[in-house]
Amino acid sequence: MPLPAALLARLKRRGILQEGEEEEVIAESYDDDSKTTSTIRKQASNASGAPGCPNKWNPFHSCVEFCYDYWREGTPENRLPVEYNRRRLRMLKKYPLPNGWKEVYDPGVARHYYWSTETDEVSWLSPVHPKAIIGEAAPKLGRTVFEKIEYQKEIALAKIAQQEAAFLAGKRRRKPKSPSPSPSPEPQASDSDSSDGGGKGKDAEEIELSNFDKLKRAKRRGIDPMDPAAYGDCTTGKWSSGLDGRGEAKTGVDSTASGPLFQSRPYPAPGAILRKNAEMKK
Amino acid sequence: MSYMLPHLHNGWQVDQAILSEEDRVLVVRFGHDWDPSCMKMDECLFKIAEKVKNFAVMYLVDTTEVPDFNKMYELYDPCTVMFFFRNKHIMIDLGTGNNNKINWTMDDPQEMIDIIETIYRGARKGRGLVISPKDYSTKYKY
Repeated sequence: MPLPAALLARLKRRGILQEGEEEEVIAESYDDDSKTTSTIRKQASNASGAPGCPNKWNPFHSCVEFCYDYWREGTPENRLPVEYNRRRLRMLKKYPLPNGWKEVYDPGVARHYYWSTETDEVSWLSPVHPKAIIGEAAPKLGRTVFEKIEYQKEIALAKIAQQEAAFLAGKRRRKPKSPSPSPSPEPQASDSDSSDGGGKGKDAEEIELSNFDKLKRAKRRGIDPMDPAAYGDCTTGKWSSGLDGRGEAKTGVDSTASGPLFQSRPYPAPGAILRKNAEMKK
Repeated sequence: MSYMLPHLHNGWQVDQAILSEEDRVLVVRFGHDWDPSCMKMDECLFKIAEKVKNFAVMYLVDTTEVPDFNKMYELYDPCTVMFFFRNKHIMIDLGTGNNNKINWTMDDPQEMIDIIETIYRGARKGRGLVISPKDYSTKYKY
């Protein structure tokens, strides 16, 4: 959406907007400081990866340059085998799509899938089909997997850095102590005091530094600095993530809400409940 | 009068009944045929079944026979009536604070017809929440 002309002119006058630049560029200029953000941004810009990549269904696969170059646009829809189309249409005739579901063609996998515009769930078969498995899209799952791996990597790196720092600190501390204690007791005491104080100070500094690093890391990963994930060891998520909410009566809403919020929670459809019950039994 | 209305005997039947109804409101009564409050409700539903057959269809579900929905739909009242349209649960503001269902016995057939008609009109327009023609809150009683 282009900016209004008056605002555009004013922004240009203030030097916020360069000549001939679009507004999207402003948004991008916030985060071009590291590689990770650029990859995340790439993912965000094209959430489903390369259009022609046949590995899109795999949550452990994230598309790289090769996928774009090699697979290109994938199989065009008009070149699908006749047999496949016949079987697909027969299935659709037998199990017509419920309201809110759309058929989408995926050129990479060369198959149609069904997408619920309301819940953003997908299914390879018509959702009414008895064998249909309705779930989240693979790229979506892939992003969480990717985030988890990144997080583990960062923790490992931080641990190594901490160990190194501790090792170096130990070396430095040992050095002044290694010369034999001076004959008079008084200076020794003062020496040890000062060294202790210095060590504490350094430790505190280290912790501060690592906290600062964590915050920097959070900024890099685009996490709100007030989010406990920014400074603690927990992963990103909502307040409710990690809780076992499989048997909850309502979906996607805070079950502790009361008043008008409580009243505006529709129940899921019976089919959704049956599927959830089946999930619980697993 | 429960023997005059169709029963659904398992979760799959409930699901299919709701999925297969294209443009009629589904009125599902959850409860027990032997329950006095359900008996009254069933009688009311049976009385209007013929009149509203063009835009609504009634089903009875025994909550002991079909326990699948008890937890999710919070079915702990002796008699509960819920409304569905095109595989979607339709909420109705009855003024009671619970917009999800009618969990008392309604013995006036005309009131029930009005409610079902309101739901049908609202749901056809894509509303997920409709407002009942009559306020059923108890505040006027006291």
